[in-house]
Amino acid sequence: MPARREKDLSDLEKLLAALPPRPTTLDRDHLLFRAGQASMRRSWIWPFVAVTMSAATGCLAMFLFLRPAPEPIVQIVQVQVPAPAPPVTPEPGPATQPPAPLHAYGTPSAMSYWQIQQQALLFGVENLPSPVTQSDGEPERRAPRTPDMSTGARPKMVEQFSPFLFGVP
Amino acid sequence: MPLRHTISGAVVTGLAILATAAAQSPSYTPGKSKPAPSAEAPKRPKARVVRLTLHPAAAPTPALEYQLLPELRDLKPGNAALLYQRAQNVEWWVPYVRRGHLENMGDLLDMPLREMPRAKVELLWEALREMDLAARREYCDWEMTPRLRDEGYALLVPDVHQFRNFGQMLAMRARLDLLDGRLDDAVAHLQTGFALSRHLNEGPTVVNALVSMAVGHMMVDQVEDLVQLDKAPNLYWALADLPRPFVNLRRPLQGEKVTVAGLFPEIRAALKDPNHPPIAVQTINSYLKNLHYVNRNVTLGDLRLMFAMTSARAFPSAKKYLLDKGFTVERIAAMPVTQVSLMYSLAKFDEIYDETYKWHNLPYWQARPGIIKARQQFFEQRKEQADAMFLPSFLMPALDNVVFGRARLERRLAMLQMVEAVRLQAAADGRLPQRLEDIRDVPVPTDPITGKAFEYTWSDGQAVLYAPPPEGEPASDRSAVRYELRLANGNKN
Repeated sequence: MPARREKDLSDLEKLLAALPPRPTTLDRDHLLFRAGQASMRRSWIWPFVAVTMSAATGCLAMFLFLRPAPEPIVQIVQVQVPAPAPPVTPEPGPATQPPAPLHAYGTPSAMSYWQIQQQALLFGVENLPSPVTQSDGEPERRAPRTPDMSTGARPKMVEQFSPFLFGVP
Repeated sequence: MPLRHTISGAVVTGLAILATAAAQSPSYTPGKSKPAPSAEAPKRPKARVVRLTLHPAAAPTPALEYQLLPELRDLKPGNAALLYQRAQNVEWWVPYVRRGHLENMGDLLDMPLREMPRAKVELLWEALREMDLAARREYCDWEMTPRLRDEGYALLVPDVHQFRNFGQMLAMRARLDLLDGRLDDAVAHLQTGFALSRHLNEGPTVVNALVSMAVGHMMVDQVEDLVQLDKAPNLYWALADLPRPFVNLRRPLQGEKVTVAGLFPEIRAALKDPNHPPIAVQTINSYLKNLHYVNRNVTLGDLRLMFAMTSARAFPSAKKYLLDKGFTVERIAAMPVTQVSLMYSLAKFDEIYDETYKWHNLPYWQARPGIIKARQQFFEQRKEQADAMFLPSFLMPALDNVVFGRARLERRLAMLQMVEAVRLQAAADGRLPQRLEDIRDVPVPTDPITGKAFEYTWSDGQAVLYAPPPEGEPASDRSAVRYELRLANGNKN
């Protein structure tokens, strides 16, 4: 019995030994890569970002090359021209810088001191518009109740302006 | 152009008609309608009539236990203007005004004290607190003069006339004190009002002075109510202690000159210096624009045209004036015609302004003839030299009326002091004085407008204190005042 077994084993060994080695089709590295790839979720974010950025870069490059030529910068420099010299002996001084226009200080709707003074002298201070009642910045022009001539009204308005309006004193 | 002239002329004429009609209207009273209508006594001269029912009261001890201005010991360092501006906080005022409280206030103040519906009174206590603090600061500097110098008539002063609302608020608070019988509080709160009036007077404009007077009148109205209350302290010495004149016009009237000078700085410099170089035409044009900005009754184009015409017409007299002032013919020839004309017109403005201004600090009865004469001369010069007078015509404020407005406040204070003298003497004698000479314990004040003693008569238990109009002026409710005094106990002695 043991001799027979030994013989069978020997035959098996012979058979095995007769088998020729064949190259395997299994790539171990590829297998591991595929295993890792399979373990991850497929995402399109990075490809999308990459494509978008590429497109944006392309557009900007087009704008850069196709934009019109810049306008020339025109800088106006004001130079004071001296007043023309009169033909007589005294030399005119250099033209003085005109003062800042008064309207630079206020809006047309705001009442200047002049206007307030006129109203106060004509109608009395009790008929001046109250600033706190203005909601839209427009001065309240309330109809005067009773003019107060005693506090400084100018009774000669027509006379004052007549030289300018009518050309008569 | 003719259409513009027609429209402008119509507007100005309308204003003049309105002003003339208003001048003839007798219905105005500065503080309230409490004075009885004078129509009840047609034979009497027309006057503002105030009827007071008095309780005799001796002077308190110490004499100045009650004062109408904060005393020096109550003042704290600091600028009152900052606190007054804090009191203008729009978060407080805008809702207050929108609810109609401010408009109601004027009507409520016009009512007799006892008839005023107290429930309708709303006050801004936060603002009042700021005013109380401001009134007790050592000084008040509005810092307006430099601005006025730079910006002239274009300066925006929305805050100044707003202080009239402060005066109303303070007057109303004093009224509530009087209604509740809190006389000490009433006097303390009146101090705030009188101090506000004085502080407003520190501003360098005529509007400041006018608002100052208006607030002063409001406080005097409350004093008239106060002195009628039972147990009201005698305020003779408190009134005598007030600064006189209560409103000082020096700074406001000088401020107007600063404003005008700010319109033409180079022209004024040229006037002072015969060697000043000619002024460039564009500088003069900018002055014209400024002139147009402050007064838009005419268009800039019209103004330029009229200015050129008036300058040409005024040139001969302007040249003569400058020659008299030491300018050489060559210098004058080197100047633009418009400069020569402007220099002359500005010199005329200075001259005319000072002719009125110089009188302001004299007693009114002394100043009045001089002021009237100055105004007449002004009108005559305008007729004779209309072209040279265009700047005075444009810019000259009615100083005579401002000075008279101040005198009216002075008169009210003096008359109240007189009323207190009557109460004081009645406490000593047990009856109203029957003649002015019967008031022996204290001096009686004179009328600041006439310079004479007030007219004092007594009959049937009623004393009448009368302040006549200034000489040459018709009696009206503005120019004459009549106090009718009775004792509360009905004693006809």
